[in-house]
Amino acid sequence: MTAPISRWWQRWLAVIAVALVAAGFAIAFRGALTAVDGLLGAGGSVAMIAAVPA
Amino acid sequence: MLPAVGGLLVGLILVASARLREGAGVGFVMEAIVLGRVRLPLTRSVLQAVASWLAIASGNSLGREGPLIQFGAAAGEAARRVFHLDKITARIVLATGVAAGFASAYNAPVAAVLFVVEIVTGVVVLEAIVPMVIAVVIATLATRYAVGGAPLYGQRAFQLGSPAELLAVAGLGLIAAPIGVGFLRLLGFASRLLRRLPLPWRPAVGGLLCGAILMVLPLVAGNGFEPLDALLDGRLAIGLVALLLVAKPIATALAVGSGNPGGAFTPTLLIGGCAGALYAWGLHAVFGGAIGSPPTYALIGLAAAMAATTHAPLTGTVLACELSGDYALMLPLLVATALAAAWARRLYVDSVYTAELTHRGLRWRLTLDGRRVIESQQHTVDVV
Repeated sequence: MTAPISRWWQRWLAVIAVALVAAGFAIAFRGALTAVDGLLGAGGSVAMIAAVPA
Repeated sequence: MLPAVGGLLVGLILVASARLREGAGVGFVMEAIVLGRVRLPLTRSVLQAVASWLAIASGNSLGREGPLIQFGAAAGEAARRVFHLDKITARIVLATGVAAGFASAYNAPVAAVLFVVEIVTGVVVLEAIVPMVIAVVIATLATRYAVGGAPLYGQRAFQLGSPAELLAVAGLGLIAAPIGVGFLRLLGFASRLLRRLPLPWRPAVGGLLCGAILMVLPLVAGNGFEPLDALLDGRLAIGLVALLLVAKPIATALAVGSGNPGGAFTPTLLIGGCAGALYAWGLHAVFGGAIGSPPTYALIGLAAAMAATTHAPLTGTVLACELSGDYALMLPLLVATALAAAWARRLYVDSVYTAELTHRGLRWRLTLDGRRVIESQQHTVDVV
């Protein structure tokens, strides 16, 4: 159920929260990809694929 | 085999989330923001992101911006419920989520706002611009604090030999258009071809085929960051660049077309970069050292190819500057991206995102009278 008109503080709290959540998710996503490459001893996708036996 | 294993896991997730799959993709995000009639549940976006992470981590040729953009929008959708937002505000917050996700993916705040304005909303509205700007500043600050503040491709400096070289740059823009359109057609062809395969095998087959290419050319793996970085450093041989220009679109089309969730945006940058570098080598063979370096043309090429596939010249121009930390090539970038976008739209009316909507029977057009006309078979909706 949505309110008829959002108040200014609702809008700005939502904007700040969404920005932080989106950034946090992006950081985690990128970090997890880097961590996997690191676990396989590689510095990126290309080195990781090159290091994995066919 | 690794991409195939990743693809199989992706397929299993897609089967498990079959009931939640409606609403996945940037096209749905566009529909949700502009028309406000599509829901983007956070659960589905998280599942989609996990599947996307598996596909990318296993080496499939995919960009990572897709899940980040989608999650940003889904976070906006969740905020609508948490903060009891009205419909208009909810759509604005959704757009801020997309901009924040894009900004965090590329450490490119201005390009993120332009991405939403040029590609998603199609109109500049102050009540959306201001929240988006605030959101990308917050998201970029957070990202820079966590992973560092340098441009994604490092701080670089590029230059052209003379102003007359703008003619050569214009030529690159015109060449990038058919390359971008060819890539879009390849994506569509692979999607139609592989759609016949059932889940969960479809992404696995796509991964297997992609893996076969990786066995010959490992540089094709992932989103293309490493080879593009090497290309901008001038560390790739001409033969390898030519091979990449052929192999990267095919591998990406197989990965995306088989349903592995991920973006085609970053791979497009590599394809354009390869085209630009090859173009510069060709010019050098004819005109000698008076021409700018291949890395300079690679940067212009990546922006032009991006503009050709998304029909967003300003986003392409600013993104190239923000990715490289160099703003000296603004004029050549504008020339190349404008020509690439205009010529690409003459060749193929849809962008990589509107093609997805067209496939669902929703034609997405912008007109000069300031309205967006969205047509379905039943009705037309004019959005001012």
